[in-house]
Amino acid sequence: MSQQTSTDLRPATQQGHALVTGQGKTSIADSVVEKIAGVAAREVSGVHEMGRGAARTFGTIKEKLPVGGSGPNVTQGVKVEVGERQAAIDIDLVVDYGVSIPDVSQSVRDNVIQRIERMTGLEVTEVNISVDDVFLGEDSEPEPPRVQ
Amino acid sequence: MADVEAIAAAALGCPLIADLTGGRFGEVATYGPGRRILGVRIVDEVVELHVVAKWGAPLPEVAEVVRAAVAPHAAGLPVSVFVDDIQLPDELRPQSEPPPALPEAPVVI
Repeated sequence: MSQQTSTDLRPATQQGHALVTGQGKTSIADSVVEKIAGVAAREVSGVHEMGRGAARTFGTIKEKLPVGGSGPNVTQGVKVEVGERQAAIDIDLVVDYGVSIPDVSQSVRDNVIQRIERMTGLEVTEVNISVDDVFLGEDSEPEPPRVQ
Repeated sequence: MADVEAIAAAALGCPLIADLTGGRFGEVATYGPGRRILGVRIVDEVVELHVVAKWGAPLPEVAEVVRAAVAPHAAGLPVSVFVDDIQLPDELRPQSEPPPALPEAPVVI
């Protein structure tokens, strides 16, 4: 029986795309893994925003700065540790109100693992997700102060 | 002798490579007379190539393709490929135009 299949869905690590070869090694920077994880997490519906409270506040201010404002930062709320063959990922999320948090976090975990294993060939050992807040909808105008 | 300039040109010719990069501090380069070639250097008989990849393709494959493309110019030296950055997909790339000015806050006296 042939071992070769035309649709090989195994991650790159098991397909012989070794990161360390005889002709030199391939290194993937942490920031690359962070970007992929950030994009993959945001792709899941139910994820409203990413990052902890302070990072979100500063991130919003930074985005709106006329100088140096660079739009949303995809790596906000993502921390990674990358070794030669493996990666571990921590993600901080804000979810939309009304979603099932276990379902959303499992989808985020699956999508992040799949994307990183496909795109980098690294094996993802763990994805820790912390849901920091629930988005309740666009708040109406803040109440005017009672005294002037 | 490895031809650094040809290596840089061959790497930039790969469709999956967006750019070469000098690393976080821009120090990865070969310093030639009157100019420097960013993103390529030879350290301890190993060619180091620092690249920015385009979004989409598996990075080990990208590295293999680049390695094959620059091999003829590397004079038999091993080529280490460092993927230092990745270009985000178009819809997530920050827009170059400045954001609209913030509305002026009303002055309360």
